[in-house]
Amino acid sequence: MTDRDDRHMDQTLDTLFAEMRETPAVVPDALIARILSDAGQALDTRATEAATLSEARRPRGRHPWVAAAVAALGGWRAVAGLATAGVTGLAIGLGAPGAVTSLVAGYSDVGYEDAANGYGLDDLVPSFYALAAEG
Amino acid sequence: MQMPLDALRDVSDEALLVAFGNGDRSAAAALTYRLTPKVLGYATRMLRDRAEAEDVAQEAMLRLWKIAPDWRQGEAKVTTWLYRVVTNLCTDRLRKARGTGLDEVAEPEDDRPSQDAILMQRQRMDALDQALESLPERQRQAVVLRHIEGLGNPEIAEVLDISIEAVESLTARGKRALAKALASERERLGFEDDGS
Repeated sequence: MTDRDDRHMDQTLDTLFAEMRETPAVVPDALIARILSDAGQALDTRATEAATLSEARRPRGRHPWVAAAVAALGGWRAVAGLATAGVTGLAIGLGAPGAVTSLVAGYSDVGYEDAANGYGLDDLVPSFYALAAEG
Repeated sequence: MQMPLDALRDVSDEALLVAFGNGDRSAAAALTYRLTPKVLGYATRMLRDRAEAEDVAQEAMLRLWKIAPDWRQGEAKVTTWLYRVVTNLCTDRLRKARGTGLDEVAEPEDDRPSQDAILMQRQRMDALDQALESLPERQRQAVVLRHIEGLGNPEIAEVLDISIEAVESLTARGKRALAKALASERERLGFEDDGS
């Protein structure tokens, strides 16, 4: 082809391209409906997945009667205090029974004859008489 | 929040896609009416089969809906991403259909009134379609994206995943091949030497 032919052919192609460009594709309504339906389903699927995920992440609720009992006792702080006091009392009760009973026996038992078996002042404060003698 | 379509006319494709990712159904409608003609037109020119092109358009838009929540703003244009998806879908279908004779490919239907001008334009479009059909696949994709879809060379390079130089080479060779294929048709298509 000559330069002139080339130029003419370029113009021909440009015209054809322009005509094709200006001829928009006619989109059938049915296709639009299918595409919009897909979009709706995509949104619905995402919403369902998000709800499932949110439910899985939500902290599980306690049994109603446990919650009612805790509330009746004054809340979790009160329950914690009560539990601490209970454990402490149990530890004291199990841990030192001998010392407590001997002291109680020494001073709380009434009666003259039992007084000889009880504690004297020097039993409780061994250095009392020595200090008293020194003045 | 749902917005009327008219109010979304000036909103960018990317903003609409992000809105859809956040659950806005009206953004989906705006994107559908805006992008489907491009997607369908490109797929039709690639496949020359209206039903297949519609399937490709629907599949490409479905992929767009699915990627919307994860769309990374500012990285790629929505249309570039879509053209790439359509290119890949068309390539897959053309490879699967290879071996199907051209005679088996249905011609698009047209029931418009047969006025001379419309007939002539139809003849021209058919001639260009057939000439495009004769091009190798990559040349056809590059020529259609450049001269009919109106994309720039850098964007075409992104769509086809090749260099800009390769795009220039493909479009130049494609245009030369089209000129050769249509040279004998100029008179029949109503072109005079003044290029009309």
